[in-house]
Amino acid sequence: MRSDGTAKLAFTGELDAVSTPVAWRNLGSELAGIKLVSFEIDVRQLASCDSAGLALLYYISVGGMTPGATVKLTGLSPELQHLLRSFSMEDFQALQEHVPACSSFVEDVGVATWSWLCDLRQQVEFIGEVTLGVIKSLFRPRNMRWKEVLRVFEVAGVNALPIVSLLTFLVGMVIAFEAAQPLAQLGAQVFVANLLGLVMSRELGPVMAAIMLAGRSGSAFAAELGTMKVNEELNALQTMGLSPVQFLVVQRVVAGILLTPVLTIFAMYAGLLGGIPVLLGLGFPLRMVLIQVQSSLHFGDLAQGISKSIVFGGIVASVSCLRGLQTGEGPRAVGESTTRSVVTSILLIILTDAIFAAVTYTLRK
Amino acid sequence: MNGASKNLIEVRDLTIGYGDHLVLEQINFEVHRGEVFAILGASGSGKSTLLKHLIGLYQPIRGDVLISGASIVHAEGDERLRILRKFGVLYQGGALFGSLTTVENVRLPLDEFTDLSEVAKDLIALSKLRLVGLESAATKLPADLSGGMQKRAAIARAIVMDPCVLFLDEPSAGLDPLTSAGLDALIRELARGLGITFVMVTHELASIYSVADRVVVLDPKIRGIAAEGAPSWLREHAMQPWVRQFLNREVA
Repeated sequence: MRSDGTAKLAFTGELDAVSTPVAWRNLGSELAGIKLVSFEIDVRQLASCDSAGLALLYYISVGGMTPGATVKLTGLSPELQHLLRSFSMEDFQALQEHVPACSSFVEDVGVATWSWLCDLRQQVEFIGEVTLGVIKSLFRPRNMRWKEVLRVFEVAGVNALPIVSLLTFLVGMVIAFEAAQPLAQLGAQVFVANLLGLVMSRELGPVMAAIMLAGRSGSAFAAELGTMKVNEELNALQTMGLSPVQFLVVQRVVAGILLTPVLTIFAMYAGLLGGIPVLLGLGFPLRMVLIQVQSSLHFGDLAQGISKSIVFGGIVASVSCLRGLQTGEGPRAVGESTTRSVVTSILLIILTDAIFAAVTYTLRK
Repeated sequence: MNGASKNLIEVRDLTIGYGDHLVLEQINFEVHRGEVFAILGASGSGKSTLLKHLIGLYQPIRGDVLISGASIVHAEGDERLRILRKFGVLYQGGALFGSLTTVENVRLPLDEFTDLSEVAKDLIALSKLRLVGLESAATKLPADLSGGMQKRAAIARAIVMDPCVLFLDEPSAGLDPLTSAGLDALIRELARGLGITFVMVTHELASIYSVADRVVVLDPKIRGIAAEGAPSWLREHAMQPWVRQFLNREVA
């Protein structure tokens, strides 16, 4: 650099993606705060230069590091000159000035409310369509694709038995452990068996089975139907004059309604079996535990659990299929449908369970 | 120029297949530096499978693929990464990431593999978009781009790390003839302007005559290469009549 405000910079060696970041940083710090009138860059000695090096040369040549100075670039080969012309400060400025569209809070609330109302309407319409489809199939059972029902029953029901049994067995064990201590303070440890029987048959059996169905099989329904929509298989069905609901959803809903009570019964028994080792460990004989369970459980408790499970099965299968059919465009759409199916299913399971609890409480009074 | 430097890719006694099913057996060919090389063949002849072996996605049953003299079949770790940096790939659908804007898609390899400043990365990504004529679509999401624009954006992403070879899987698939011709022009421009070697799998004859310097024609019956050479020469002089019919778009 000279005292008259002129400076010359000569590059040697390679200017590539490895060396350029270092050169960029060093030059930036060297030239910061220096007022130059004229700046000459000589690249004749440069052995090679890739896009990263060209970006640096371009940035210097447009005065990015020496604002106000006249910059001259010499010794650039015709090929590199051609490539340098693809760099544009205008494009760069446009990119920096681009501000992604940002909506206001009020607008967000409005959009969310409207989409929730539209979703509610779609759900009501869908429930009607599915109910109609199930009724049609009951009157014309030959039109029902029973093979598909059996396949879903096997995949979502029979194959889920081990995991549902294992989970409820462990939950039963945990409940027995947790209940044993407070009941011991009251001298009522033997009633752990009664508690377990009632909780598993009325509440946890059906709820656990339904939640497992939502997580394991409901998500699979949504992903399967979502992928079919992305692959335009649903469009193909419609153009063949077939209703996707009648052809794909009804079978899954019927299978869901039939398989959830079976899963629930397994969940009830597995939960009870989980509590038995704890009670045996506390010193209660097996016969006594069984008598306690038998005395506290009535047919109404079992009926309550089973009837809940039928409703839960219908909800999980319908909601999952609806979310699958609502799948949008793009690679994220199927994932979003699957998440929405699980979240909505679990929300509706808990909501329906609360309604059941309130209704049965009122009826028992 | 000696033989070793002339050949950018060397395929040596390559046997590929799925399980017990052999697709191609003991094939050999070379791709020269700076040329546009096309792999041709009827549906099911193993074009795309061969391409996936060339880029190291699949392991061959036997044989080797050398890129600049380094085996992609046997390379592991950093050595494999070094070879992968030498090439870019354009997949049939473009394979742009839907959640990123066009410029973010193009910038992605720079973000992951370089220490360049934000300014440098933006400048490079925008220069590549300008090269493919998409500078005005930088902030758009892939869903807002047409099929041809998505392919161009994918090419911009593929060349952002200055690869010496670009593999294209059916670049014209799903494009109208005009857009397809535009893409061919871009390939020619990049091959001449940047000196990039192109290896493309296609059965678009118009593209082949427009851009390819040499082709290999795969034959599923012999599970090998039926013919190799300049497309216009093969059209007239290929030994096998079906190759001449294929290249002349004639029905046998």
